[in-house]
Amino acid sequence: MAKYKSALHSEMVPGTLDMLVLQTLLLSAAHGQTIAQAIERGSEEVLQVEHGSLYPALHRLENRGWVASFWGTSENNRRAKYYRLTPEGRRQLVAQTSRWEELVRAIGRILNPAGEKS
Amino acid sequence: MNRWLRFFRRQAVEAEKREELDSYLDITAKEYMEGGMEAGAARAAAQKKLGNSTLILEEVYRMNSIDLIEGIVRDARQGLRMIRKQPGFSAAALFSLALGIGANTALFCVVNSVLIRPLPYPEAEELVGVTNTLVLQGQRFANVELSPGMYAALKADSRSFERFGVWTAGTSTVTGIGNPEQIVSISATEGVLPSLGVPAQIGRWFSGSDDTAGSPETVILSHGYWQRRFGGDRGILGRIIVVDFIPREVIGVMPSEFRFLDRSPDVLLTQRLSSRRADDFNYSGIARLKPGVTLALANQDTARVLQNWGEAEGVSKMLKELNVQPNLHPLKNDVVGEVGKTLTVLTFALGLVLLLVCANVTNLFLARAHARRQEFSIRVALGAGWGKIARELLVESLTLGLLGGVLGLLAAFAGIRLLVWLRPANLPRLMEISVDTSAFFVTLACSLILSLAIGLVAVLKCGRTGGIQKARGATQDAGQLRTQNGLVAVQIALAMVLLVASGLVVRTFVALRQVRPGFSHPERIQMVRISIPEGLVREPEGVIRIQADLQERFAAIAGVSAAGFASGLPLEWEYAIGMPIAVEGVADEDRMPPNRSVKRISPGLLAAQGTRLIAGRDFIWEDVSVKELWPLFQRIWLARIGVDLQMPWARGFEGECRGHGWKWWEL
Repeated sequence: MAKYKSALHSEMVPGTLDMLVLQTLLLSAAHGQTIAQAIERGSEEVLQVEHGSLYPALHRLENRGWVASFWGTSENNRRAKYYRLTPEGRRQLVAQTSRWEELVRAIGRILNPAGEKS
Repeated sequence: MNRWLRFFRRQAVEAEKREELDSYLDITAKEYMEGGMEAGAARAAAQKKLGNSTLILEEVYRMNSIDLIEGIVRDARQGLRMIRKQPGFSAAALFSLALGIGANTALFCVVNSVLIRPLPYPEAEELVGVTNTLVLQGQRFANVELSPGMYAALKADSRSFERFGVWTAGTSTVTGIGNPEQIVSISATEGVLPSLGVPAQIGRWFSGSDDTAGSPETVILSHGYWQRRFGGDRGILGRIIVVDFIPREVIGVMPSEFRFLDRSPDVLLTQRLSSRRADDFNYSGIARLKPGVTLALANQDTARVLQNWGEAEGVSKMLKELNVQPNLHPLKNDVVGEVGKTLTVLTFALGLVLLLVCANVTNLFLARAHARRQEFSIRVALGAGWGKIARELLVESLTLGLLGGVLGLLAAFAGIRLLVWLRPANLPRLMEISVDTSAFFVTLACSLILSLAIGLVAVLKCGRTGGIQKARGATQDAGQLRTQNGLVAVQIALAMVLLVASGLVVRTFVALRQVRPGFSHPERIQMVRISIPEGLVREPEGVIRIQADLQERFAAIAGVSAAGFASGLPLEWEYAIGMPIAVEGVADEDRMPPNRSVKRISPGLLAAQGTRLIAGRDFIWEDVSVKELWPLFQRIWLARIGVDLQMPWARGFEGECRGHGWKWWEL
């Protein structure tokens, strides 16, 4: 049925996009384009984001109630839809981040057993 | 956001997302242009960075969509399109459906209002009609009303009645305010209104002293009469109005929704029972049972009261001879009467009509589905599952069925309005009949079941994988034809049943038309109801004089060829009375003579209503001599006994009337 899979879904570790978006919104509200650029630049261009795929993700987060949206005006005076973190989103971010870190540590231990002993 | 809310808002959300993507393109393009790009190229680059807008929007749309519903809505649209595209098919199918469903819904409304819904009184299930069964000359009468003696006994002694009273219906004359007016009245003892439990809108019910002889007379107005005659004047309480030439104080007004069983009286009068006669069975009893008392228990208790009463008053012999047994029954029976049977028959008939409609529409639908088998097989070849095609067929039949249901509901509305407007005399509780929510649900259920049945047949015959496979290149096969032939056979069979039934009804009607009712040229007969109240003229001679005078004046009116009086019109059984009549030479001295239905008529009536005498002569006013009549007649203005013309035994009689010329009546 759903034959379309966004580039993000295929190139990134599944489930991490949500976390990245939430993290981006942690400090201030932003619109889609800002979020996309922030992720791209923040990862030092490692994570190549097809910006369009961000929008379904934002919609999903909004449906779950983790972010809320409002219409505002962008830096260059264009009407744009801004997203901000909800308290629930904040909780999710903390949970997901700690789970992610756990995962990374676990994988690291397997890939580098020597490191564990030291 | 709720999943369903999102589903219904999915169009709006898509528009918003589209705008959001636009704003992304604008912002990004502007940045590129600031970096030195040319406008068109910047826009293209921004679009490239964003990706395929349509795919993004589709992904968002899918997130908000519910696949099944989306499909059903699409199929329903397709169904509506087919209805529009094939007006011939649609008209036939929808007309059948509307007719079948409409008739059944209308009938349901009637059955629901008349038979199922409780009477419009609080705790109506506690209300009972109080009557007796008795046996007279081997004939059993199930609902004989109470006599004053019985009323007094039950009122004093019954342990099962919370409240109890008796009433009679009649007409009364109001004088003293404008033109004299004849109105419908109910005379009730003090216990009747409290039994029904509908409080007066203003004022009060009758009290115990109101129906006792010697106290001032009182009257309670209906809401309608109060509005009509007194303009809803709230100061009406305490006013004196003259009803039947007796001044009565208005003590209350009933609310507008108050009905007395299935009657709408203008006024309620007090029923004063001066006599304590044991065998004057003319008073209908109403009682409210005490909480927890069953009908059987109340019957037992009433039997006990009657027995005690018989012993105390010395009428045990009569009770025994007539085999009087109490026959308490739910008050609803009094209101609904025999109409239940008629409605049951109608329900079956209309059920058959619904089946016929079902077969008819199924056949139409099947023919259409059949013609589309090529289309189905192509779609199957393109990858559509049989489930999709089955769903489409079902949804199409549902669309058709629901549309038919809506039309049916409209038809039912119109039908009920027509019915109420026609006011069939033998349908009780007519004013309570309405199309309500339960009728709506019945219609809905009707259409759903119908359309599911229709759709299923179509799916089984045309929508299955096997069926579709067979359709490749084939034109028609025997299996398909068999179903359709079967349906046609069912239709014809049902139509035959209905035809035979309606044929029988028509035959009955024709036979009824051939009955000679004992009067002729009804279109030339005018009728006026009058009553000369006892309050005005007391002596029988006076009444007779007035009536002879009236008749003369009536007859003198230009264009009137004959005039006469009768206690009741032909075919009006309510006004006939029963009277034991002995025929000389036949009568057995020891036994009570047989009870016959009797009407009282004046000279001239026979000529007026066009009744032909077989032998003898009509009455003349000289016959109306008070002294010559037997005692029962003395109070009455009338000449002689007429015999109810419908009774086949009315070959002739004399007996008490001996010496006044006896006659045979044409039957």
